Amino acid sequence: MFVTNNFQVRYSIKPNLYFESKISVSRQKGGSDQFYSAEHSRLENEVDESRKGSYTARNDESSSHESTTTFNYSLARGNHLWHSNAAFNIASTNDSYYSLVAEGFPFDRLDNLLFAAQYQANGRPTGDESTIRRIGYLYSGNYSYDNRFLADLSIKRDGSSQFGSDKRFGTFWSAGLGWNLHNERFLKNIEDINRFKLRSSYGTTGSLNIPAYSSLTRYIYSVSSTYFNELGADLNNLGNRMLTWQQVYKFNIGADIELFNHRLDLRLDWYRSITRDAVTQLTLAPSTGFSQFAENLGKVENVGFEYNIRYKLIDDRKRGNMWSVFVNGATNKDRLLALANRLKATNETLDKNNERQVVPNILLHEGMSQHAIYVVPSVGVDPTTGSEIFRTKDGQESFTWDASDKIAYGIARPTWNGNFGSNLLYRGIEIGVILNYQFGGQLYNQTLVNNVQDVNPRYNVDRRAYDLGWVHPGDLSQFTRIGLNTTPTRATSRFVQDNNLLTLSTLSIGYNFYKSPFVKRLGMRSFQLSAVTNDLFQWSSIDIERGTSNPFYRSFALSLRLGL
Amino acid sequence: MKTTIYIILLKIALLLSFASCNNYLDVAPKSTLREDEIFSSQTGFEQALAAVYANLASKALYGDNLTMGFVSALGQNYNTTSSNNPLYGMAQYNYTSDIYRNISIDIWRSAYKVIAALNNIILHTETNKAVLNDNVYNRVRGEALALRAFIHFDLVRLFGKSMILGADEASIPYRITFDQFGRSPHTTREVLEKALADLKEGQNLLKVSDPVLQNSVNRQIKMNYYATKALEARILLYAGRNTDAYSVAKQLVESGIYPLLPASELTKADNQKNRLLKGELIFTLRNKNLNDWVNQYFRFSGNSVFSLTRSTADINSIYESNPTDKRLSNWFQDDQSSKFPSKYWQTYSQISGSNDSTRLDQMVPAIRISEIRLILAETAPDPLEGLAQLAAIRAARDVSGALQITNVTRSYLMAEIQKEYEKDLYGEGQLFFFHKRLNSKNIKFYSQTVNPTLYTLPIPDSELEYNPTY
Repeated sequence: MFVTNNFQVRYSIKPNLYFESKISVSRQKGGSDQFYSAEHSRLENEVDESRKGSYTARNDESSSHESTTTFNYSLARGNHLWHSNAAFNIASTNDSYYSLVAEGFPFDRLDNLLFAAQYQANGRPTGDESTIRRIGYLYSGNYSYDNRFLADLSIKRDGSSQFGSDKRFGTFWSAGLGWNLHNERFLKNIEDINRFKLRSSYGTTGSLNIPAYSSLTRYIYSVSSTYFNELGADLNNLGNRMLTWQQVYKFNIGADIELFNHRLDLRLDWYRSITRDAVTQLTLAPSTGFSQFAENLGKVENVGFEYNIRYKLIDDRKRGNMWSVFVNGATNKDRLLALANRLKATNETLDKNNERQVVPNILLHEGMSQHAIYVVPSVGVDPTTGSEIFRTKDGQESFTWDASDKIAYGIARPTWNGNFGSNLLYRGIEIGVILNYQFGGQLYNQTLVNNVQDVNPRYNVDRRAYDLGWVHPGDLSQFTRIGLNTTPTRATSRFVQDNNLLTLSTLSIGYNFYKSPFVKRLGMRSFQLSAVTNDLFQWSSIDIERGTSNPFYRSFALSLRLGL
Repeated sequence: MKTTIYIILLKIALLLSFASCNNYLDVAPKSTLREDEIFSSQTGFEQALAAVYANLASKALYGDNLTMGFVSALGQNYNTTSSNNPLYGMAQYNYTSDIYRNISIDIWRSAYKVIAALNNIILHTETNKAVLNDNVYNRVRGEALALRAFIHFDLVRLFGKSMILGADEASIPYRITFDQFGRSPHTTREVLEKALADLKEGQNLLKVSDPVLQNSVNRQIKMNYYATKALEARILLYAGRNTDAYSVAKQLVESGIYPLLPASELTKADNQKNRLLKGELIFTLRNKNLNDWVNQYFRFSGNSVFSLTRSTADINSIYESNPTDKRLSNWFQDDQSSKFPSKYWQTYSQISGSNDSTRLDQMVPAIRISEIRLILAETAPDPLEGLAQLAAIRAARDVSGALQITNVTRSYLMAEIQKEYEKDLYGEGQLFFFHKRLNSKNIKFYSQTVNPTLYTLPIPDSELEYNPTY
């Protein structure tokens, strides 16, 4: 259930000065139910009839409110145009959920929560809550001269409850310049150019993709922290009082171009951004008593390029016929520029002492991508012994896996991703196709390791382990000897795979009855039918494993839109 | 007119923004409590400490791994050669197996989590001293300091080299701060010294505040004053300071507060059987869910080798087939015609109306008076004094036959002490540490000569990985 409400007041004091206040409140409720019948095999060993069958009911709730008050002032004098805007913003979002388990459903058909014999034995409701609050002040100003030269400036001060009590506020600013070339005399007369704008900006922003309470040390009450009759408050996490905003300094240059009677629409952007005090969840030594800690880590550089092209093959507005094709894409390269000194020390020992490393670590090296996959390069599986051969740092081949031989073998982010597709409007028929592509990235195929390479052959195993595993000397296999007491597979390039993907993400067909006289007769303004389906087809360079933990669904939606 | 509206609007905006915004950003989580709220009242301190006990009593620590489970397997209490055994390979010291890796990180993580919680309590007893009355301050801080010594001591007994093998080699970090930084490991000697210092400070605080000293309040399930004394004797012995250990142990034994219970406690009807000899426990931890794993460990499930036990012949051999030893007949009972250790079997039914503290079940011994008597026996300058302690224990358990009292050699005495560690502390996890401390060449039921490196358990991987100072 989703309820949202917006309220807006605008008061014009003078024609060029007005005050506006917006309040929006939204509330979302949801839930999920999970029922296991008494006959389910997981309850086979339960002898107590009143505990057979279980029902988990979960309730989710989130609400948010936001209010923004702005003063707007504009001034025009000849060719000069100023526009000023001051705003105050206050927002709060709250998420919470609780779930409880009831037991004892003797008969399959009685699958309503109300038929439960009892609450779960020794159980208690579980749940969590988080609240984030933000406050912001903003001033922004625009100036344009003769609609040719543009300049803008903004200053912002933001506070968030997510940060340590002394570090809650951050100040950000940005400045930009633009040039409308199409309004210049030398281009104005060229008919093919409808719009040609160059723009550039530099500024800072603060971003906060961290959990709500990372800056607080908190205690939690639970059944397991109770020492007999005494209620216990258990240490929940380690808060970082010094946690502060990560600041992104971004330089951007771009162009908006429209050509050939608005048929070709081009938008190009190039950017370089430096993130200071990037917030990262650090893994801590277990002797600290905690496993994670949010920390402002260091400097990260991102360089990227984005493009968006749309071309209208048919543009017949009078008849309402239109056919366009589009393609867009983005590429981004990230590089760690500097690490906090404390972290550097950690990195060096990360390799040296970590003999039994199983999952590739998120290692951080200056100059490397944050998303690099560090593994020991593998030569392949030795057909004679069925063991894996690794390549050491000095180029030798070796049977032993050594953490110090690790190299950055791939990057877990695509080099390019984007969409392309087409839209067609013809006599009220609307057809839309969107395909999504990504290529150039890699993935460590942990699923393959878990389900095939490292299976325990005493239990039911994936067929591939049986068919493809190394068995006899001379077998050429991608997998090493699968069996009892084999060493767990360490991070190896053998399981780093190219992750290229092409998805038909959306296909929609619709019909607009704007031509049919019955629409008007029934007193409607418009009447439209449409059908949408998602993920019709996917091609991927890595086989995708579907199962209960990674289910696949296809949605078909039929919608009817009436305008009154 | 218009200007007045301006001014009013501006005033409202300013009022909204500046005056209250810092409070507005001060969000109190609802599902959890912030530490400043916890440590703003006496109750909060008590609750933080209660959670520490709950964690100590968890399966990862004294509920299982550090008492009846893992550490007892290291002491050869169980035969773990079946691959279906929950502690498969642990009695063979297979430290490369997944079972060891899981148990060791479980112990390490949980222990240091407890230490972090203790450090935060200890820190706040100073910074928020104003909210505590003297008595509570002394008791909470005293217990916390002594517990910090207690848990570090067991970590160093597991993961550090023994005094004989490497007193001055890096072992584990003795953590006294509450922060995110990995600390470099201290040597075994340093850890023991720090533990003793913490213990001393805690002891002095408990001396003036522990209710156990004023009246008969049940304080067994807490780190009480006497428990700090017993722990002190244990650490001193491990540190090789035998004379000091002797005087502490002697004082505690001779105070008579913890007498050995009569053997009749063991032979009562099943539901009142005092299998753990509760009155002898100076410090014990209680866990409500003990039965969950006790039933898995010490009951028949398919085959006796799938559980934690030894063959009947082995069990007889531990108790020298002594026909009258009440431990042999009551600590090992049949389930589907196989013998299982029944020390933790919980058949106790509470007498209606009796206090919860009179329960005999749901407990795991942390320190028992017979161990203190064994420390006394080992450190006594006169071997005959030592023999007297052994004789007292044997008498209390109805063991027939007498010990040799003429020409008593040191090695004879030590052999008899070892037997009592094997018998009386069966399934309590002290035997492995006894052998480690003495760097024994042989452990009963371990078929090979002990390679001394087996006495030092490998530090868990993730510590080595994320602690830059290791």
